[in-house]
Amino acid sequence: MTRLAEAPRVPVEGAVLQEPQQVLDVALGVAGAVVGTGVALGRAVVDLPLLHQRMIWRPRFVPERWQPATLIGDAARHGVARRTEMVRAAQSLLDHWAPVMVERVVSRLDLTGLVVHHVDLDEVVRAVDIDAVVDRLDLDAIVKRVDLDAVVAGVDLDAVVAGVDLDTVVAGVDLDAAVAGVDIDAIAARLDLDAVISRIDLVAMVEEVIDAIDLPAIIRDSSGSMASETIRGARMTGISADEAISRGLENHLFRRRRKRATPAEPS
Amino acid sequence: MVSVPREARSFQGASAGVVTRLMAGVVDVLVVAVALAGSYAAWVGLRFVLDPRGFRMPDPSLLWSMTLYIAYLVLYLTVAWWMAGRTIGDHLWGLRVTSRNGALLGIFRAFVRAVTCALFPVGLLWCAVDRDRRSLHDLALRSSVVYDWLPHPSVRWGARQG
Repeated sequence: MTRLAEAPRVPVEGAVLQEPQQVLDVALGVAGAVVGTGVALGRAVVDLPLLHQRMIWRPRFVPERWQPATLIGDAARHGVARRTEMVRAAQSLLDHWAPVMVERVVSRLDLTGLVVHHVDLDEVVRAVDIDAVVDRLDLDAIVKRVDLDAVVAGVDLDAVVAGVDLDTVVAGVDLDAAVAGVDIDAIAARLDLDAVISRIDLVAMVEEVIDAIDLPAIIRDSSGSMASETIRGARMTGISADEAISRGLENHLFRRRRKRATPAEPS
Repeated sequence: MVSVPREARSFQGASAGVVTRLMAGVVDVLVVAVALAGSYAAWVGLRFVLDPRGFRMPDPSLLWSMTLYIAYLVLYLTVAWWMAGRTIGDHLWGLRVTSRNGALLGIFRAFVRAVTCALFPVGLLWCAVDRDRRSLHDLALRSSVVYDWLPHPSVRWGARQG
């Protein structure tokens, strides 16, 4: 595009140049010749001994106002002013047009594709000191800005947990070693049990427990059955012996009487 | 009913058999013997304190001892059956002496039963062969002895012996 834009400036008449490359070459050649001639001329002029004569620049016979040095100095001052003005205008023009032009250009370019195709991203990343970058990051501030509740709410924990093989995890944990590393004595020593106990309304609790237990009934029961398995066993043995004696006597001694008598239940 | 263990509930209030009655009687006999021995020791100690110089071990005759023993036994049985319906032996074996309707014996019946039991303990054996497990004393005095594991005679169990 640039080469095509420059093509019309080339003052070659009658030449039928099909290739823009040639146009550019010709333009460069001509420009180089012109500039070279100008530079040679300038040097030749500057090197003239005549120019270094004070008489040339400050002839005494000419009023100071019309002396060449004065004239050139004035011209230089005007030039400076002019240059400053032009630079300012150029800057304002640049400020105005550069964004527009860049926008036009960039809108026509596939910058991403360009970067992907022409930039060795691996090399670029390798050149970046990521440690330094991380050092400069205020991770605390970043973490503070993260809405962890929302993040957690968005996570399907059930699915995650279902996917975890907890048995394997637990089997891999050396719980004995972990527990052995815990100084339970120290933990217990740090507990303020007195404070805990003082916060418990022991009297009310005990009263509640006693109400629920019905202590008098228990005392009654224990004294009633003599609260002793031995006594209970002796009594049951006595009852069993009574039953055995009764059955034995009924079966063997009074078989005949039992046959004759109608079985009358005691009322 | 709460106080009675599950395995004994079916026997609660039923007429007691000969074995438990005999065992209770043995316990009562031992209790009275201990009481008599204690009384004798106390009597000896008292005599020694009162007259140390002229002290001689008393030599009670057998008749005197037996009489005192029976007196102790009658007093003990009367008071126990009248007041609680059970002696220490009865309590140990879970028995209670009641009248036919389940109430405690009056003091007179308790005294008569105590006298007959002390003088004629063999009558107890009749309950082994009686269909309703009544001893001769029970038949004479219309009393009954039942299993009763409850501490107090407030609940009556007398239905099964009629």
